[in-house]
Amino acid sequence: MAKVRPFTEAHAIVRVECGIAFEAAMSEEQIERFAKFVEPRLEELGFASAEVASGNYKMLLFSTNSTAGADPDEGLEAAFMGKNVLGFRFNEYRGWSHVVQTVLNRWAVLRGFIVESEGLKIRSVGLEFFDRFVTEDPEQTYDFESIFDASSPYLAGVRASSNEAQWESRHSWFSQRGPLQVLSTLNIDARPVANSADEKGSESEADPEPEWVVVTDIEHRQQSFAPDLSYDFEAHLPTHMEEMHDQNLALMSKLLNAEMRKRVGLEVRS
Amino acid sequence: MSFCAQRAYHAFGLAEQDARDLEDHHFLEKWGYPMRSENLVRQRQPPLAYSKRSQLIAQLRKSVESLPAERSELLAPPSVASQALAEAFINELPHDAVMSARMAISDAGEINFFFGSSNGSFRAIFCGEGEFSYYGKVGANEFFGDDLPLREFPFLKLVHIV
Repeated sequence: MAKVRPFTEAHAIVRVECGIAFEAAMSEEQIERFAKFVEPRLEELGFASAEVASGNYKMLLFSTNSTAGADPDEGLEAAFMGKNVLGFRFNEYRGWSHVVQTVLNRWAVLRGFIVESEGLKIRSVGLEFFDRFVTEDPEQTYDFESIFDASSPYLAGVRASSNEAQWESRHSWFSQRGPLQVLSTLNIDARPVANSADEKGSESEADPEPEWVVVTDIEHRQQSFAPDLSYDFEAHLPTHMEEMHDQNLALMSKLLNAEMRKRVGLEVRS
Repeated sequence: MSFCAQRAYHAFGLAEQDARDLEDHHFLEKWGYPMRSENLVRQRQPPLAYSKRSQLIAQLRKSVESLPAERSELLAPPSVASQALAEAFINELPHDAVMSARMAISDAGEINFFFGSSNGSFRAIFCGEGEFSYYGKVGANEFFGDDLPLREFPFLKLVHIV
């Protein structure tokens, strides 16, 4: 019998990202000046370092020094400024209010350069939740309905093959939310993953982890933009973040079955 | 023009140039955020501190659930406000503090957190309709607060203890 668990005991969130896009891209010279602006403000921003990196384009990468339980390269929280996008990444989810406050606090510092010095205007904002469920499936009895509500309209196209341990689903749709047009993207992937030697753990010899697990990932991304270029995005940033968060909760409530909704804390006391 | 940009163009009658701009800005194609490590892609369980934080939250939820929903002479569940504030407290705890936190719920519905080491001890209490108090002792110095907003809790002093 397969055992399914959310990524953590309290919820399934692996990471959260928030992106702010501007009307124009930063030049390489602006990125260099941005790095100089940021350097004396790292402590205020809650980052340990900000390094200019060059890939396809020049970018500034922020990271925290604490690697206590996070990506060893990035730390618990990271940020990125490249081209016209400022992104904030949370490799540990510490509640929605923590995400909002941290993004707004950091934005309050960074806007000193981006808006006040360079005159860049926000053109769109986005939010992405990345959730994971792990099925320990030694007998290959992966059961789609152990995670999902089989009647969910978002899964209509995948039911036929959904009890196989490898499937994917892709949806994207536009909607109007007040003055904003919102592109929502929902990607779901289920696939077997081998336990690597250093991840197997050795807590109990009697109950060893299986060689293979099935990982089911749900990536829900929303990107909001205003057709009216004079729209003051910055003034409404907290409101739009709340709206996107509410939409994520609503979507997850429609995707997951009743037991899983409870396990990940979507059904709260009233 | 990408499929997404085409959709934007057709669905909302955006000027074609606007749709191309959006595409150029990489915002419709995620937000160009580089993945610096493959670790997260393969992660099957959260790292230690993340795991401990979520265990505390799960323990809080299970403890509350196991109590009768209605107040009686002998038992009272924590209020919804106290539970929400206690979850927020767990989420705000620095990592070192999370690792040493212990939690208990009293018969009267008080949610208690304890932190201690040879350097001192701290106790945080959530009761009533989300009232928050704390008491700490480090050497001969005492710290306390009653009916405070969470942001006034001395998280840094707590870190010094643990």
